[in-house]
Amino acid sequence: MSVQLSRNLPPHWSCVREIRTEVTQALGAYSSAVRYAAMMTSSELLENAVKYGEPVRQAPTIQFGMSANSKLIEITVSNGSTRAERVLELRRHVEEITAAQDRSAMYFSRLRELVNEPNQGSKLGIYRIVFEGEFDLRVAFVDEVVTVTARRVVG
Amino acid sequence: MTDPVVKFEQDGLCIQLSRAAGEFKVSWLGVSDSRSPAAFLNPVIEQIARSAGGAPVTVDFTGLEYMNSATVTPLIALVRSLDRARSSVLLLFAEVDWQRTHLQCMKAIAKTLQNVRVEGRPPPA
Repeated sequence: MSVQLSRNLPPHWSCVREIRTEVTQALGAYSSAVRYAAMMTSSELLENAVKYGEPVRQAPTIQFGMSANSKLIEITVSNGSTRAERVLELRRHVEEITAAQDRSAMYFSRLRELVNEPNQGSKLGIYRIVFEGEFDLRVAFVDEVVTVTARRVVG
Repeated sequence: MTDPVVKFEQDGLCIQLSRAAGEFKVSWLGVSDSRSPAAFLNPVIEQIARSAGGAPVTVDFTGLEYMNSATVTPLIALVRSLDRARSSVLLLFAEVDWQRTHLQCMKAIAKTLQNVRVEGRPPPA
């Protein structure tokens, strides 16, 4: 069981739905729970890339990649960004969530905050990937290219 | 008495509002994955809350196939506005993997509200 998917994508919203379909089809041999988790994770990461990415010389488009075998699924999304502060904030956010002892408590706490403050941005995608999708996340930022890698052990 | 079904549709998402015997039902069908779901959903939510006017409301998510995280905030806004209008609110989720997580989440949220119950149902055939 081995799957490889690699796409160069323009920053168009329609790409998100296309990739969800491709990921779901490519992971047909996996359980529905794993398939859904990978599809949702791909979708949330790509949404962020389309929303916040910008073309730079080293990354004029969005790069999407997925590899999967019997033990591990890895999803990578790269895009350009000239806003280092925003990327560093994302990295801090990811590290905080990933290091949490109880990810479900953190997610529920965030949802309760949204009940009380519904007008703030949700920033739920990262929580969702980590809690609901059970993926670990890592953020790298080199030469104005931000790369977010999501990994989940499946074996 | 049953009123005609009112439909709100955009980009693969359909929200149906119906009323029978004084109780409202709000059914979410399809996929909610637009870039700014709040732009479509917030006016719909306002209309639903206004129409319900404190009457019992069932919000049925069992026909929802996928939603992005940007949908969660308007969804919570719907539940919150119905709760504040003192409607008795029943939220239905399908007992499938991805909706089970949302069911857990909404149960956690419901504990902070006055009039909201959350239940699982078998997925639609």
